[in-house]
Parts: sequence; structure tokens; C-alpha cells
Amino acid sequence: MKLSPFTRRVLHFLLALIVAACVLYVSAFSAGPLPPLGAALNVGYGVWTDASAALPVHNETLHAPGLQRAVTVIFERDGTAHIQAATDHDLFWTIGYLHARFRLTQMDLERRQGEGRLAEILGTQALASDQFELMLGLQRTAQAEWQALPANSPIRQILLAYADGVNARISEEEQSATLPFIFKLLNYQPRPWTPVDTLVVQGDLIQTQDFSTTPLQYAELVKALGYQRAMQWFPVLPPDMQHPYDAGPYAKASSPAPLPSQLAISQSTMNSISYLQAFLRQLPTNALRHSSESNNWAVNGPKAASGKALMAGDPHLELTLPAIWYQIAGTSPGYNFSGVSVPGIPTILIGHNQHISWSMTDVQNQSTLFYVEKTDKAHPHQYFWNGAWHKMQHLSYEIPVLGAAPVHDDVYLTVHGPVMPPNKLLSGQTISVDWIGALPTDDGEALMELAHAANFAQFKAALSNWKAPTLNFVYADDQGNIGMISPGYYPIVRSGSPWLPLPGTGEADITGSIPYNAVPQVYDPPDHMVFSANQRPVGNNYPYYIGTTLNDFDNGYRADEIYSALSGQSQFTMQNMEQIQNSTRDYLASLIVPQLTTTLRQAALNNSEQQALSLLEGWNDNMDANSAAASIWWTFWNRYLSDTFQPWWNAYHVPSSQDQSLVVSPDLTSLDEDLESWTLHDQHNPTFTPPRAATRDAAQVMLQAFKESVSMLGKTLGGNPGQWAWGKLHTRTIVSLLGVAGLSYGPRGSGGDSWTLNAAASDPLSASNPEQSSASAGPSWRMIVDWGTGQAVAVYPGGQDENPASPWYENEIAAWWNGQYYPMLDGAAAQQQPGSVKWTLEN
Amino acid sequence: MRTFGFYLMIGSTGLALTWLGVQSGWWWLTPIAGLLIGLLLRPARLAILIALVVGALGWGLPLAILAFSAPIGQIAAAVESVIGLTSSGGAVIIVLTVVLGGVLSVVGAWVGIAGRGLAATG
Repeated sequence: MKLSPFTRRVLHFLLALIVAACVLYVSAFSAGPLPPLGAALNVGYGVWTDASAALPVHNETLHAPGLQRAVTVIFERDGTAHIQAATDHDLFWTIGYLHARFRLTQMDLERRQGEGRLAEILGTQALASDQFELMLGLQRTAQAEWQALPANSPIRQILLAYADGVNARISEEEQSATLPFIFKLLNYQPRPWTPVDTLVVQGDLIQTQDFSTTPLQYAELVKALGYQRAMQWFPVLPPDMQHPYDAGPYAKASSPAPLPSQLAISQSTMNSISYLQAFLRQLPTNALRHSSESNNWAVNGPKAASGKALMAGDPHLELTLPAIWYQIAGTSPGYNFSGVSVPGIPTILIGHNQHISWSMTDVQNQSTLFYVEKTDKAHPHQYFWNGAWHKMQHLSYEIPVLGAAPVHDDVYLTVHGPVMPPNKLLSGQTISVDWIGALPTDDGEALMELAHAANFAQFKAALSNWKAPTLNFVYADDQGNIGMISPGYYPIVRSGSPWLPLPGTGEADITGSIPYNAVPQVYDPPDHMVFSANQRPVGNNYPYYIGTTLNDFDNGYRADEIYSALSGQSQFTMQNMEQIQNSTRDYLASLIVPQLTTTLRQAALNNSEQQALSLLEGWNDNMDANSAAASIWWTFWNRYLSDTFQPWWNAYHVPSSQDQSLVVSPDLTSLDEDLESWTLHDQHNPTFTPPRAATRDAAQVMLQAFKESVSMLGKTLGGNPGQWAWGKLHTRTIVSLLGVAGLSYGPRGSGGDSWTLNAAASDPLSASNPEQSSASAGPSWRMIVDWGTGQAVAVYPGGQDENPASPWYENEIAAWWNGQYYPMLDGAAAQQQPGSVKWTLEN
Repeated sequence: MRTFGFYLMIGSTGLALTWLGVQSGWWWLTPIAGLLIGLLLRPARLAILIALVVGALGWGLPLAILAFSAPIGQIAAAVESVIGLTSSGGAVIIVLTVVLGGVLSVVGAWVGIAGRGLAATG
């Protein structure tokens, strides 16, 4: 068919219009993973503005609407910001401004996670996280905290000033189209910052440190192994010798410790737990507390070369780029502090003022309790409590989802807390969670008072209203005093075993918390040292239940190592402290390897095994990246655990394939302690003999595990044991906050292991969990303060700026990796530092 | 017969329009510049060629100038990582930016040429 010229031209025009429409569509709207290309790639306004924003800051005067007086900000060469403000309002306004200037993406993601608004920008992949957060209610708690603040409260004024500073920067970036490139790629604008957002970010931190699912794991273990065996292998009190920092004596408990009441778990409860665990597996890593592993300690008197107080702290967290920390020093009429802040929160969490210094580790007591609610089809959306049926509180949410219709979400609350998982009310039994982080807290006020404190009495008073997370605060001051206190809400239940799901009918409710004067604490102890490393902070005769050996407290080897390092020496200097913080000595290896080598010397070994034995015999217990013995030790310990416990797991069908946290590995801290204790003191423990098998003892299992290890390493790393460097197996990665490999650091061969002081927990031998093949958690900030010399040093693995092209994106990693530190300068010294930059902010 | 000066004037105007759009966030000025080129210049192939050059230069030159002072390669590499493209050190995003400028201008010119043809027939 021949078309007329007019028809041809019409078709030509239509074709041109269609193609143009397609091009304009992908330029104006998102398509799949692509942002609106026209706006995103526009050179003057798109992602490219981040290239200019990445340029080093320079001396300049900035217009800062909202300031009461002019403010000076000095940036050290490494990006550390020193704020000199003439009013307290201006100090916190400027902290907000700097946080937004350098960490706006991070701040927005943090508040979105806590408020359940991630799916709005990330789509359905973030829906489970949003549902979880709405159920948990960080925003509900934050709103309650905000509403409870009196109008004239200083913390209220601080939160408002901070939010104004953040919003001033957001407005500036919106007007100049210089928002960070992520906003352009995801095609959205950040909404204004509010004080509630700050309280939500605080809630995020509490959740990461404090929300755990230990009772669910105990339920699975009890169901599979039986109560007696489960509690024998996963006891409440550690079976091995530990070093609590508060060894007592303790005052008599004001209420009795709970007694075990339920020894079996019903099938319907197990069904609820399985459903819940499946839901929890969809959550991001930081939604639940995994092992936090932090260290802090202080010495004074004869233990400090200066004769005054010497303090060290290194909180261990997921290492990310940008880092969780933003380093600042601030001075105003009411404040003078230096340390690290969390973007979104207007003060430092760890650091020092003119008189005292402090750092923190996670207590890791049990802060999450699960209740089995009695429900019934005849009483829909009700639960039976204290002898009567009660209506559940019902909350409804609409979750906006990128690229999909909004999702309706129902949250039901009992007197204990939200029903989990959301949108599911199983007939007959339903699980609810009572999480201490959901209690409104005065933590912000406590942090501000800490910044003012000048002695231990004021320090202790500042923390008296602290609720969550429970933390071990180490303390040192300019008068030579040291101390440690672990404030927080320690739930006491009326009856029952809190490490298991509790009956929700009223008899096992929380009745209160341990009194503040009875929480773990020490001040100027006679041995002149205090230390914590997530170990059980008190001895086994402490009169209150606070947690178990499984995923509550750490296995204690880092605390043992600190004790060993500090107790054997005096006259410590700052350099000694640096060495201890960076130590990769494995305390458990120092106990077990002599037993192992003694066993092996009596056994028939092949050539490779003989070489491996020689390496172990000459080893110094350091998990150095170039150590072959370190590879042998770690592989051996994994095999030894597995050879001892896996036959039992198989025989009793422990559901480790469904719940990865139950896989036999060093992560099951109770098993580390059991095996250590039996190897040292009970080599004929019946557990060494598998069910229905010939009798074995520790020596036989050690020999078997060693031979398997040598064989495994030979297959993985080659036939020459001398070449089995630990760094070939074990790596660290500092993961981009966006989960993007191209913006991450590593993986890089690294020393350390799960319980070295320089912790680098990974599971390089695990085929079942490849995500754990590289260590992603570790010392997120190392700080040492010597009150004798007046010096302080610190470093963190990251940089001050989240912009990946900035010279401050990852500039501190090299020093951190090599065990080096930067001095924590005061404002005057920072100003005199060559290369420092000065901003003047004027209204 | 159009003079070389006329082509230069239209091309320069298109480039100025595109440049202005790129600097102001008005990316849609690029297809409008192309449309003008398509309506005013002939033959069609020459108009398309000029539109391509105008679009590519309008987006590429500011980027090249920015590259003298700022780390555009690192930003391009970061964007590439975030949107899940295979790492090319940022080259894909830089090329995509220049190509997008060219394509936006060319589709504008194409619509102009086709519209002019339709008007002539009518």
C-alpha cells in the first residue's frame, strides 16, 4: 500500500513525537533503578554539584540566619570541627548546621529507618523494616518524650536550636540545588528536621544496642534439647572463670530473683516463634542487637605513669562509611566539650570536658522480654490478662512505597507491648514484646548533664535517670579518680524465666527495675583499675537476674585480656594504652593452645600436621594478619566446637538451618565458655561423647578437630602450613551505609578475631552465611585521655564528610588501621595548626 | 539560501539556551533548543547534526570545565555504584550525561523538522 505524502508526514511527525515523549519521560521521571535523568545529570543542578561540594573547605564567612551572635568554626586538617559560640543556643544551632552540611544523607536515612519511612524512597525491599519499626514504635516513644518536656526545659531549647541549624542548612542546599547526590538519585527532598527526629535517631541507637531475640532462641533450644540440657549448655551464669568489674559485695536484693516456672514450650508457641523469626530475618542488620563488643578501662595512682588518671575507650559497632561518629569540640558560656557526636543528636556521646572524661560499652543485659499472650477466636483482638479479657490497642498506618500502592499496616498493643509480627494474630497464642527501649527516657538530658559534670558525684547524678540502652560508663577525672557505673533500666519480673517467652496472663509481668544504688558500679577501687568489655559486669552471687550467657553477655575473653594486661604492670603511659587497644592477642588461645599442643605431642601426626603443631608451639597467641598459627587456631576452635556439639544438634534436630543464630560456631558464646571450662577442668564431660556413640574425651575430640583443620586449610590455602596467613582467610570491610560495594572500604586482609581487643568478628569458615565472611564490626572510635599530661588522642575508621569524593570521606582509615591516633586539640591549638580552616557564621 | 552566519547564529543561540538550562536546572530547555534548530535549519540532516553538537556541547562543556576544579570522576563512579552499574570508574555516567544532552537536543530537532514538514504539506 502506497501512502500519500501527507500521511507519511503525519506518521513521521507522530513517530518523532513518540520518541521525543519517551526521551522526555526518562528525563523527567524515574524508570526502574534509574533516577529522572534530566534532573539528575544536569550539570549545574544534578548529581554533579557534589563534585564542587567535595572540594576542601576554605576560609569564608557564611550567612547563618537564626544565630544570636557570630560563631567561629575551625576545621582541623582531618576535618574535626571546633565550634566557638558566644551563646549556648548558637553552639547547638551550629552543631545542627555542621551535621547537615556533612551528613545529611545519613541523618535522613537514620530518621527514616526509625520512623518506618524507608519504603517511601527505597520501595518494597524496605517494607519489612518499616513494618517492624512501626510495630516497635520508636516514633511513638519519641513523640511521648517530646511532649513530656516542659516548655522551659533546657533540653527542649537545645533540640529546637539544633533543628533550626539543620533546617538552615537544608534550606540553603535546596535553594542552591546542592543537596547530596543521593537525594537527586532517589528523587526526593528531605523534609524539615524536628526535635522528634532527634529523639527517633536516639531510639535507633537504643534499638541497635538493646533489642535482642534471646528468648526466642532459648525457646527453640529448649524445644529441641529439652530444658535441662539447654540450660546446662546455655546457662544463666557463666561456667568459666570471669572478671566482672564489680565483684561485690552486693546489697541484698529488694525483690527476689525470679524462679523458673515454665520448663516446656508448647507447639503453638513454637509456631508463633517460627513465624516471628521468619519475619525478623527480613530486617536490616542494625535492626537487632548482634554482638557489640566494646572496651573501656581506666587506671590511676601507681598504675598510671603520670600518677593521675588514664582512661581508654573503644566502642565497637558496625563500621560504616560514613561512620556513625562526627567528631566535634564545642565551647560556649555553658559548655566546653570534645568528642564524638552522632549526626542527628546535638551533643557528644563519648569524650571529655575540662574536668572529666567518659566512654561506654554495652552492658548487654536482657532488655527485651517476650510474652505469650492468651488469645481466643471468641474474643477477637483481645487478650487475657490479670483474670479478664482486655481489648488490644489498635493503631493503623499507611506506609508509602516507592513504585507501588501504599501498604496498610495494623499494629496491636497489649499491656506488655506490640504484638509481633505485625498484621498477624495467631489463634490461641500471640507473641508480644516488652522492650525497654520503648520506655520514654531522659537520656538526652543525661548526656547534657554529663557534659557539665566535674566530679564522680555529678557524673553519677547525671546518669541516675538513664534508661536505655544500659551502658557501662567508664569515668576518669583531673583529680586522679576513676570509676565505672552501669545505669539503665534492668527489668525485674514477678516470676518465671525471663530468658524464655513468659506467660502474658499477668503473673510474669515486669514489676520494676534494679535500684540505681544496686546497679553495677565501682569508684576508685583499691587495685587502681576498672574495665568493661561486655562481660557479665557482676559476679555470680549478684542478687538480681540480669541476663544469660547466650547473646546477653559476651563470653568475657576481652575482659580477661584487659584484666591480664592491666593487672600485670604499673606505670602505664598513653602509648601502652594504644598498644592494648590495638592488641590482637586471643585470650582463649592462651588457655587452650597449651592443652592442645600437649595432646598433639602424644599423637601420630603426618608431615603437615607436624608442621602445624610446630607453628602452634612457637605462637604468641596474636591473631596477626600474617600469622599462620592464627589460621590453625581459629579453624581448630571452630572444628572443636562443631565436633563436640554438632552430633547433638543433629540428633535433637536443633533448627539451625532455619535460625542461623543457632548454628554451632564461636558466636554461640555459651558454647565457647562450656568448651573452655571442660577442656581445662572436665576433660571427660559426657557431652564429648555423641548420642549413641562410643565414649570420647576432650583429647580425642581435640585431635580429631586438629586433623580436620589441617586438612581443611590444606585444601583452602595450599599444602604448606607456613603459608596459611590469617589475613588470607580473615578480612575486614567498612561497609558503605548505602550497602554499595563501590563506596565501601575493603575487604582487606586483617588481624584480630571475635574476642581480641582489636575485635574483628567474622566467620571466614562459614559456607552457610557468606555475609559474615568479612568482619564488618569493630572499634568504631578509639580514644585515650591522660589527665596527668593533659593529653587526649583519638581516631575513627572513616572521615567527617559523607561525600565520597571529599578528602574527608575515609581519610582517617589508614591511621586507624595502623594503630595510630590524632591528638584531640583544643580550639586554640586547632586554629594554629597549619592547614586549618576558619568559618565565620554570621546572622 | 541560508548563510553560514545564520547557521552559526542559530547554533550559538541553541547552545546558549542549552547552557542556560544546564546551569539553571532547566534541562527541558535542551529539547526546546533542538526544536528551534529543527524548525529553522535545513537540510534536515544538517539540522540534526547541529542539534547533536549543540546538545552534547551544552552538557559536556560545563562538565569539562567543572572537571578542572572538582573531582567529577569520583562522583560519577559513586553514582555508577549506587545505581548498580558495572564499575567503569565513572566513565559511563560522564558519557551518559553528554549523550543525554545530545539526545534531548536531537529529539527536539526531529520534532521540529517533522512539524515543519507537516506544516509545509498542510
